[in-house]
Amino acid sequence: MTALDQRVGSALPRSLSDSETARIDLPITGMTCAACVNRVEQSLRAAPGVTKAGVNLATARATVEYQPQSATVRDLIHAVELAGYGTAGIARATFVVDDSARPSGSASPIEKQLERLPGVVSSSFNLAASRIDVDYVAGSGDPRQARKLLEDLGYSVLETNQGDPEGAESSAREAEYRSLRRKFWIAAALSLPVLVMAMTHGRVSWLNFRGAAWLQLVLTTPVVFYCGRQFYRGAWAGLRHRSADMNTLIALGTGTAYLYSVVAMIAPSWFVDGAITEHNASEAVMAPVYFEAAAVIIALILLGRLLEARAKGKASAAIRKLIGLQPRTARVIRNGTESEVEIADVVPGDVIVIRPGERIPVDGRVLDGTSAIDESMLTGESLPVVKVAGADVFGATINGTGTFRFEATRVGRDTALAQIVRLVQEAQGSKAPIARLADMISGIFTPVVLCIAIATFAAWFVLAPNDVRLNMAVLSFVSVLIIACPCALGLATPAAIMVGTGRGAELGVLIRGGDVLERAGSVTTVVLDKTGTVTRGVPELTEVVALNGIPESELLRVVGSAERRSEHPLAEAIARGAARRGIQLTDPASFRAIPGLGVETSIDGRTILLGNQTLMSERGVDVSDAAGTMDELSSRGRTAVLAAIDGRLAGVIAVADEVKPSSKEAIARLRALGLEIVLLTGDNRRTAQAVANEVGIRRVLSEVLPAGKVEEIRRLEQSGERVAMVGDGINDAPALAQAHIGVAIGTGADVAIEASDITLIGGDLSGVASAISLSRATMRTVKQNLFWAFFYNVVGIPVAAGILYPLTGWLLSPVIASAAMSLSSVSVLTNSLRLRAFVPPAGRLA
Amino acid sequence: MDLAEIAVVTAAAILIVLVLWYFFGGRQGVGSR
Repeated sequence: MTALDQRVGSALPRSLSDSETARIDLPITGMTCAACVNRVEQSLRAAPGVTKAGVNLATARATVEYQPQSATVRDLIHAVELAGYGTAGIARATFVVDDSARPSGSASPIEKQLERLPGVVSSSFNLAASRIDVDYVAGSGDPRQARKLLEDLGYSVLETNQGDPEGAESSAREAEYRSLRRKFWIAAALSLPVLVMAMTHGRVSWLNFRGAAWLQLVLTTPVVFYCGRQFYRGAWAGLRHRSADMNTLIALGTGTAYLYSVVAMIAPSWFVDGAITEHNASEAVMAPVYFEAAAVIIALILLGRLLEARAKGKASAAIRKLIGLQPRTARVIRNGTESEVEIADVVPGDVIVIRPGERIPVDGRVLDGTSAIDESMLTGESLPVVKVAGADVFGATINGTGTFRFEATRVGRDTALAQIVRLVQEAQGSKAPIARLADMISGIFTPVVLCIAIATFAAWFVLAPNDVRLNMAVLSFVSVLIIACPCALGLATPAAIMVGTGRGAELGVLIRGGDVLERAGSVTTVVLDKTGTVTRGVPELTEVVALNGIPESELLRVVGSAERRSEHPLAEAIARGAARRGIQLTDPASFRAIPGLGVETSIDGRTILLGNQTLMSERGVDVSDAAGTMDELSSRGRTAVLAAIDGRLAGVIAVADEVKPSSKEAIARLRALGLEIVLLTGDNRRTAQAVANEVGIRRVLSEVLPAGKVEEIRRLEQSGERVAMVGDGINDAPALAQAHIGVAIGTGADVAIEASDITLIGGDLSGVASAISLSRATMRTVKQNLFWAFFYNVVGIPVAAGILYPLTGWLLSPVIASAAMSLSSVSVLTNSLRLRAFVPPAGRLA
Repeated sequence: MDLAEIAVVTAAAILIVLVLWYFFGGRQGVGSR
């Protein structure tokens, strides 16, 4: 290894050892159905160095895991192109470097080194202009890494232009859409007269002229070969790979109608015994032509695609809205002066000023000032959160009326917003198990349809009367091919999952993938961890009962001061509670903690004893006066702390981990969903029962050690329950992982909690009910979609094959078949878009 | 059945076999990779 290589090695973000795999999200263009998904997946999997490849039709993205030392991003793009599709979203970053600083003899390998960076497609070094262009996949590559690599190699970078990573993909998609729209309008304009001429069947005299068929040919040809070019190209690419998809069906269907018509027009005598003298009865014998079928099928399918593209745009609106939340600039104080800085140039440690009504640019910690901040875009929680010095603030949230300064802690890809966006994108790109079924079926489906169409042709040729047998055979053949296009099938699941996960993000519910949605919908039991989930997780002083004539404020002053030095959570709660009630605390003269019992201190020359009953009886303090109070407090789940001044009982202080205000309603909502609710805690039975009573939970599992929680979940699951475990994601990680669904309660910052399947950003328990009902709604939509897509094909194919003809004389026209086909995928998408309006149902408070 | 019908049915049968073989037969078929 040369010295250069070593330097490069250290510059790479991840070491490229043999076991290391890289991951990339490639935006794909030109995919239309589940068979396309299969084909891109297969082509990628067959590429050397690829370990895993998954393609999502709704997001039009391929997620590929590969070994960077045996495959480059360019190889992956090549594999996609080989399958007959394209990639989008390649952005270009340009670096102008100081060439004099270039290490000698390293002009050539620099491109290779850059291309080994994750997400980089290609790079070129223009020696004359001292300019390095790096093409990278937006979202997977990071121009900052390229810059760092260049600097580590000894170049000094004078200028950086990062390109427009978001714009790169959207402009490619925009171009795709515009080309589709243009082709549709051309196809529509040309096929309308063809349709009119064909449908009037020669009854309108001025349309019934000598060269009518020729005119139809002239109008139809550009529709087939220009507007419909993509279908033929796709079909050919598929055929070479021994796969068939909807392009195959469309190409065969329209191609047959077109070719048959051309031959019938040029040489009607071939079909003369079957020719109906349709177009010009008085003149030469003519065979019927079906140019209108070829033209209108292509126009209608393009229309379907167009509507589909628009609906898909709406389906990803949620994520685009999230990305759009990030402000473009930040007001940063550097060297004592305030200046407007591009968001990409903000680094951790920068001090940023926020004025009333402004959006916070990055994550950070408040230095000074106070304000209420609207965090609803991240948490779904509508009430503003008050922030004081030391509080965490998050990028994209909106400041209220205060002004404050904060220090940036996380920027760029590390902010909570960026993490949420990434998580949602990954979830939207993931595949639910139910979608794999649909993909598999549509892969087999197309060749089978082809066989059915051939059989239909043969059957009509044999069964139909001699004079019309060829016409009927051709028409049914084309209809079967067109109506059987499996595009609705391929969209059924991913479309619903995409809209569902996007809607979840808007509600503050981060769902980790399609499989999670599927599992969450079938949950029967919800196990709630007590501390930090149902309760706030921080003990608070709740009651002060003064005894033996001591004033309450004096008691509070004494105990608050006594506990000031202690680090025990109970002591902190008491000191904080006293301070909050406006009591002036003093420092104790002496302080001694007695482990497991309490503390002994001296204040104003008096000996203060604070602790439990054991401590008091050890020191001979009579606690009989407090017995009733203590019983009453502990039955309500309070922890009682006894206080004695100079050996005489002075009062009882109650501390409790209070129930979150939203917990009761959240649990009522869960119950309204028909779920069994269990409270799981390591606390003692009485405290647990008290909390359970307060929020309305009947089943309590108390005094369970952390390790025992996994065991309890397992036991519930063995009894046939499907358990959703809700916890804080850190202490409960093993239990979250064991459960059917692990739900972590996050607090804005920790959105990417690993063990969880669902993260509730708002830290609010009501998100559990939203998550479960959203999952149910999404799965319901998926099932409706699949039903309609299957049902449609199951009914459509026999009708197109002419099964109704002997009964009703009804033969499906290829034109109607193509309209119905386009409608089916549009209806599947429209049905999925209904999820955008999903509102979690409210619970009934018991 | 006239000659044309016999020809069409035979051709259809051969085509169906060919389609099935091409897409499902051999090592490169759907899902075999």
